[in-house]
Amino acid sequence: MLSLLKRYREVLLVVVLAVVPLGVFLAHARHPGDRTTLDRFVLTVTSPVEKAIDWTVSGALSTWQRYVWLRGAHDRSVALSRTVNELRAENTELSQLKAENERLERLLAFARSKPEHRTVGARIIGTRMDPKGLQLVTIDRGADDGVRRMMPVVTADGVLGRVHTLGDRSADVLLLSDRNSSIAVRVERSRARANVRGQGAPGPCRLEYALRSDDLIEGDQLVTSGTDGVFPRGLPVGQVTRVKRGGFGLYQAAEVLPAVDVNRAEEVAVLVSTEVPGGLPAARAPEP
Amino acid sequence: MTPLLRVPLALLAVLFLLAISAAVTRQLSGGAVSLALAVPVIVWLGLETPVVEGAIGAALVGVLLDASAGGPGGLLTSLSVIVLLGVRAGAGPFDARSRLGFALLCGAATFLMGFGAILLTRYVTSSNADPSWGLLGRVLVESLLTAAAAPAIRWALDRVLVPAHRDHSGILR
Repeated sequence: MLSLLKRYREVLLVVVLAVVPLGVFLAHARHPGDRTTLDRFVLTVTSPVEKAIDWTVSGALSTWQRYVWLRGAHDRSVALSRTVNELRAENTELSQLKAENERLERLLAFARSKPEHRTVGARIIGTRMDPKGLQLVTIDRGADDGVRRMMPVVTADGVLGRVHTLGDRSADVLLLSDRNSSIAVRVERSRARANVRGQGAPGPCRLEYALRSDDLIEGDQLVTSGTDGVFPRGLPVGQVTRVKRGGFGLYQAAEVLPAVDVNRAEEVAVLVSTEVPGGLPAARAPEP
Repeated sequence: MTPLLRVPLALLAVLFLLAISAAVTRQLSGGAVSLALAVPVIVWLGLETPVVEGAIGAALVGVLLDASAGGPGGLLTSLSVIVLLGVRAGAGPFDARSRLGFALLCGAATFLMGFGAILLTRYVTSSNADPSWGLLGRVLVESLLTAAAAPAIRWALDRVLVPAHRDHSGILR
């Protein structure tokens, strides 16, 4: 018996190594428990190596994908650039629409604040602001829309000018910056009267016919007085920026910054219900 | 290096390969497909060591595999020894030490271990918790990937562990 064991000891050992663990498995598999000490030992030993390999492989893959494997990257870049350009154009368009919407809202609010006047909304479609010539802009409303000559044209900020020449579907507006434009105004603070005349170029206008004895200081707000037969009273015209009071004379002069930047105006309103008495306009309408 | 050091070094190699398997498996497929890089060590032991040393080494590798898997102990230990015997039996008809032969043996051994694990686990667990036979497809992919990696592992093992130069094929020689 002993000799038999000696003879087949290798076979027996191998069989034991194969069968005993299987028996252990069959005995414990139906009631699996927590991890054993050996399990935890193996995990403790392998996890740092696993982390190091994971870090290395991740780094290598990342490097490969970012710096080496760039197939299709150019096409993607071109497509993304195209998309960016399209989105930029769209964004610009939306910004313009937003700004336009805000301007129209302000214009609408301005028109609603003057319920006594009926207004026609218009858009500036052309400009002729030559310093040597007339200061004119063209709007897309004309006689067919109820617009008439000498009617006041305003923006949400104040007076822009008056209708100068008329077409069926368009009209030219003489800006307040034109030399031939003169608007009767009143100093809002002191109620003193004067005229605002353009100087032939976009920019400051001139205050004239303000009595030397009138109370006028820089920063005074000027509004239409309603006495020129063109503009109704109370429309903002500009702000006094510099007062010139000489040593003698009946009047004092001043420089006026218009309330409306004529270079930036886009949407306007024509006050169509304001009547223009035939012989009373304060401004001399220039010949077209 | 004495033959006594061969098994401990093989175990260290297995620990390293287990870590690589886990990391690469996560990186390559997010866990959908796995690698069994420890199996080539068992195959190497079956080809290059005497039967007792190989069986002891395979059993200890199996213990590490069991511990790494976290399941009930003994399953992979037993399967490792069975795979070792299978390698010794199957290595005779062809040149198992060539790259292709070693890769084929490793692929077959991996599939055998996976199949055996599913079979035995299905046998001992309740019907609603047993592993699906659909896992065999995953085992097949695992076998192919392991076979692909096997020549490189053999190259490394040949330089770390000294082969015993078995001249005769057979299970117990």
